[in-house]
Amino acid sequence: MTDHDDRDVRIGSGLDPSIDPALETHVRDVLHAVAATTPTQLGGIQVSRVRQRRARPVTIAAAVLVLAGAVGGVLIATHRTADAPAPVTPAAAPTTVGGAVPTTASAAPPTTVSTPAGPVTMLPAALPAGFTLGGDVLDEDLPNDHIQRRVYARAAAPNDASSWVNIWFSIDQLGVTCDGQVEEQSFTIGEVAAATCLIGGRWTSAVWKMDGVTVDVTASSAVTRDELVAFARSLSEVPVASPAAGQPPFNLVPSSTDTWTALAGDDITVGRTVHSTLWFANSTGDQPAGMQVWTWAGAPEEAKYIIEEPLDVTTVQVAGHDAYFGTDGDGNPLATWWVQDDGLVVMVAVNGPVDQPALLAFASSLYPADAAALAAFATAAGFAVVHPTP
Amino acid sequence: MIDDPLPVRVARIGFDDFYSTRLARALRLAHLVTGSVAVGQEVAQDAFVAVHTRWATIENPDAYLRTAVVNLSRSVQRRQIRERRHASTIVEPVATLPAYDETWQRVVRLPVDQRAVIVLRYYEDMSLNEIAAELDRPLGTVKSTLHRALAHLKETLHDRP
Repeated sequence: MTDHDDRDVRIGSGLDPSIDPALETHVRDVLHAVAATTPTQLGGIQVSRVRQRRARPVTIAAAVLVLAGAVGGVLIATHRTADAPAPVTPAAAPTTVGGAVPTTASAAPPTTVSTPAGPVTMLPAALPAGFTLGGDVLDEDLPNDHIQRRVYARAAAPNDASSWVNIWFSIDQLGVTCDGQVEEQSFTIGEVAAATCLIGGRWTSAVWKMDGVTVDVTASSAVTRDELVAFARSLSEVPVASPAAGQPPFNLVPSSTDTWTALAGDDITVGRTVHSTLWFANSTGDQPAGMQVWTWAGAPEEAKYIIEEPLDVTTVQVAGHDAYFGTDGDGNPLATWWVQDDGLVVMVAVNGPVDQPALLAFASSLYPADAAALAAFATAAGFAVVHPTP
Repeated sequence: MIDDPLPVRVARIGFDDFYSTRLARALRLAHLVTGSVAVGQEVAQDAFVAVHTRWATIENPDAYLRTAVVNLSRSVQRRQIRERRHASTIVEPVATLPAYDETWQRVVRLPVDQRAVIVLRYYEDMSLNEIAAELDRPLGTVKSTLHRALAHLKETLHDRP
């Protein structure tokens, strides 16, 4: 089936045949009856007090931060539309990536969705033209569900909420059809049947099930149905795997140590697949400048979890690779990362005052080293290499 | 990311007018989602503070206020759950019909996310898509949550009409 086979389907108006309309009516009546008992003229809440509290933003922000911390990082911010932004004070506002697209801050590396084929992380193999990754991954365990969300934005206007696209992955969802009140139009992703949903006169959602995971792509008003379908079809599963047996987790070394001197070698597992590699720093200057090389088998966007800072992302060339280049809000370089031909993701992050030319020069000098070459390099650099257990 | 269904205001009113005309609704919503008049009052006030903080830039204060009320209510409830992990839920009495009171007791004992979905669906009359946007959840998850909440209420209510 192709797009030419699209068909309009008017699905039933009921939410779920197992839901009892009488119960729904009863619950509705109860809520309205209880709401009618709510005291609405209280001296304790006055607009003057709101204004007084508004004048103490630091205190309020601190309280919200404490609150956010108390719930263990549970999402209290939303970013669905410009009209309904996150109800948080500025200090508790989410981090930003790729401009100012609000996202949820998270220090935890992303976990993956388990499928019958094993754990995967699902990503656009190639983003639809004009879109860019807009934020971190929301990864949240619910009582009966586990959800992930990725946010994409139109590259030309990353702050324009009307052009954002959310991609949701969820384990426990009831059905994959559109809401009962909306129109549905089917399409396919390879052999998988999917459907776009017409909501409020616009095609804003595409849902389907793949390997037991429900995928829900939700777009804002300025995203067309064609773009929505393109997003859906761009998704592919990236298997989560460890580096090949015998392959050192840190398999890249700089071709020259004239500028950079190895300080330490380490093998740190961050989350499931991410390995810290080598620290290099120049030996002069008051403020040591360093580079840290990370490699992992997974998704390149996981770089944002390692960096753990808001960053603006552009693209550069690193040794023939199409690479991402992340800077902070002041334009200072933070990291560059790319995918090697063997699928391994490589990121070089700066530590201290390192400018863009230095970062790119260092990154471009990296070359794959087999275990013997790495051992030789490490010996020359004066640190020991610990190989992973095959 | 679904555009909020509430109509955009034709003319912008001042914050004081906004406050006075929306206070009752915010208090009721916060009461229903938190299950407590007192906690709801605190939540409502915090929500108005959030609105006031961004008053100059908010395009739709009604939607912003509702989002603030719901999310702050959920956050407060989660915090309280953590603080009284082993304590029994204390439900404030309300004076309605006995059958209504029983149902309300059951609603208050629902997990906060389920209660939020119930309130937004049946008190605010929002569609599931709108609720998904409000709670920042996938549509299917909202469906599952609503289904689970109703199934629980149905199981626990003895004299449902």
